[in-house]
Amino acid sequence: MPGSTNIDAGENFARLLVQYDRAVFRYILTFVGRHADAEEILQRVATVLWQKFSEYDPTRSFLPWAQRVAYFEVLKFRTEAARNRLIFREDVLEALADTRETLNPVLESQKLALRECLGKITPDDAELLRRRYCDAETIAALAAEKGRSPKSFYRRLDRLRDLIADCIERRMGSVGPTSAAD
Amino acid sequence: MSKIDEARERELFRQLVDGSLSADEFSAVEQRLLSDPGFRERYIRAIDIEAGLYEAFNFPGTFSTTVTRKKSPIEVFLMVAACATVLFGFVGWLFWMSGAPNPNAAASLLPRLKPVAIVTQLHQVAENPASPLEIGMKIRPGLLNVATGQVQFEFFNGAQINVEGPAELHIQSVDKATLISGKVAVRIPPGARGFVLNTPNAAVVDLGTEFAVFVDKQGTSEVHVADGEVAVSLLGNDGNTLKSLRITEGMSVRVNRKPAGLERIDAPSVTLPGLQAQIATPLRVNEDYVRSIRASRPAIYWRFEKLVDGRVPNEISPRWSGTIHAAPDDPSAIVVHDGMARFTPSEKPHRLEPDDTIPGFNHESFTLEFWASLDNFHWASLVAVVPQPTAEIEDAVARNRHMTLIELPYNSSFVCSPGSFRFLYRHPPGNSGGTNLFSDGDCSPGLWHHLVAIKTPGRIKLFLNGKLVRHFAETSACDEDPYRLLVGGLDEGLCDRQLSGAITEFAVYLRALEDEEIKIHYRAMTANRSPN
Repeated sequence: MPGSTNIDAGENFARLLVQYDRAVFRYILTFVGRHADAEEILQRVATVLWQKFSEYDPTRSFLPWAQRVAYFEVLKFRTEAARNRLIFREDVLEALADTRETLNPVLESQKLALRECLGKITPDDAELLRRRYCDAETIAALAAEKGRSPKSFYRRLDRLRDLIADCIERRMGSVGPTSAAD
Repeated sequence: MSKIDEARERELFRQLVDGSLSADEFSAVEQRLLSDPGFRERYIRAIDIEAGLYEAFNFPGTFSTTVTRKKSPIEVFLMVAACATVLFGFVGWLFWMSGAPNPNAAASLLPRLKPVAIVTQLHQVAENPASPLEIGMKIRPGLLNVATGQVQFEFFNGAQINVEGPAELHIQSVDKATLISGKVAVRIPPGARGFVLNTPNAAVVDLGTEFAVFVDKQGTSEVHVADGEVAVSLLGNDGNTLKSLRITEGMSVRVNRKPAGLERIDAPSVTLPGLQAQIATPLRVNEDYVRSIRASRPAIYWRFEKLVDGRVPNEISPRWSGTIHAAPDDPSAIVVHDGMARFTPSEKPHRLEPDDTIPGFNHESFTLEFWASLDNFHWASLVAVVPQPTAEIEDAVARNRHMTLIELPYNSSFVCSPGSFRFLYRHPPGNSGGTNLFSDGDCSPGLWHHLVAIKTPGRIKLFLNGKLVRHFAETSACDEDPYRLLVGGLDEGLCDRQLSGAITEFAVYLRALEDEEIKIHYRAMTANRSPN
């Protein structure tokens, strides 16, 4: 695509990317776990997707194509970063990719359940989660504001995450167990 | 699985996300992920919840009606594309991008995407404590999901959109958005002409109008024009116009996916929303505020509670009553009611002005303090301070020289955040030059703002809502000339920059208010409640 003068293609690409960037992020996070790593890989994926956009078949869904590119970027990232941080082996990544594909309907239901569960949390709990997921360092600041120890807030945070996970399980009861593991 | 095992497993997954597992623990997790399909599934589901929480609080628009978004590398990527299009040409940027040795170089160019719009109205939107949505909240490019109710916002270029849930809207830039599903109403003022609303299979290019669009779950679009004219394009697979049609007021068109085509229809298949009027509600003024203003001893204090002999009385003295200057056949240009002066742009000059000049206004220091609510983003002159016109200057433009302006610039050549208030001090008075202070994109149409502008011999200051937002130290000349105050219009004989909105609690001081006094005034108005 570089060198093309088709600005409309750029707009079309931008539209697709804005539409699917969070889904691609979730996919990448499966393999690397850490948010910062996933965001960095997502940035690389965006660049590669644009470079290869002329190969994209618009009659087919964008997301699977983007996920394929993302998987290879994860492998590249692993090669570069595995020396100084813990990243899954290739055979583990492959197993995760295969399993994730079969779980897509469950993950979609889970996403909806999470949305409903988040709608029920209190403003205080929402603030705690916001501090954790926007900037983990502010948990200590929040504790200082409330005159409590950071440890107590981290315990409350874990408890809150457990409650959300339980809420999701309850809401997904009709989906049924996802495997024999339960 | 027992509850204890389940708790341990969740903790293990959290440690993995936090990067706090030891190498041995990590290796053990790897082994189990390979050998235990159930564990592998639970891990993927747990990580996906983590991703969902991260997404909900960093990019809330993807999960609910909230739209405040933190910086995303993808957003930065797109923003660089947009800037490059303007500055260097898209092709050149792509070439540079493809050869960039550091994939994060693009991100480092733009530390943060700027907001492109602001929420102006909410109707029956379900509250969500995880992602609250408020009037005045700024919107950055990204995805907006509205589950129920209506969310109206105004782009900084002046375009207004009302989204009726359930709907999904991708906001791409200050002049472009894509409706994925649901209903929207769009109004484009002349200054924002060219706004494009895309749907999955169509593009609606505004030609100066108001229109509404519906996209169903299958991606079929319907467009109805309420006023003016739009061009509707059916897009091909390459994203370019395949067929197009111009439709005007009262006409509707359906854009079918299969078979692809444009079809005129008598009326949309659903009831489409309209735009909510953005009219200022009266400011709720309490006695504490009035007392605090009087205690600061202004020279002029207009409260707009009534007219006396057709004028706005000065609460402090018989001097400087406010006179409405408007054409006899233009009675709605300035209307005093409900404790405010309401200004409506027209094709004839109008202004509110003290019935006498103010001698010694710039003898040393002065302060202008008032509350303003704007109907929309437009270039609005709130207050202008001008010298007595010189008799020998005949030309209206040349006659209008300003010493001070307080206004909201719009589509201007100034470098400032969109939606910022401007305080200009210029001496000697003239048509250009001077020193500007800007707020930081704080104007929210439909809300009341407390503005205070101060000039002293050594400094100028701009306060917004009780806080000092900008100041600049410089020697500011003084003089003994009489000055005129023009409210709601830039010049005496011109129609430029007319205000669409309301002003109230207007006070002029022939001294500099102390910072603490301004805080007291603002607190008196807002104690325990919002002024809006």
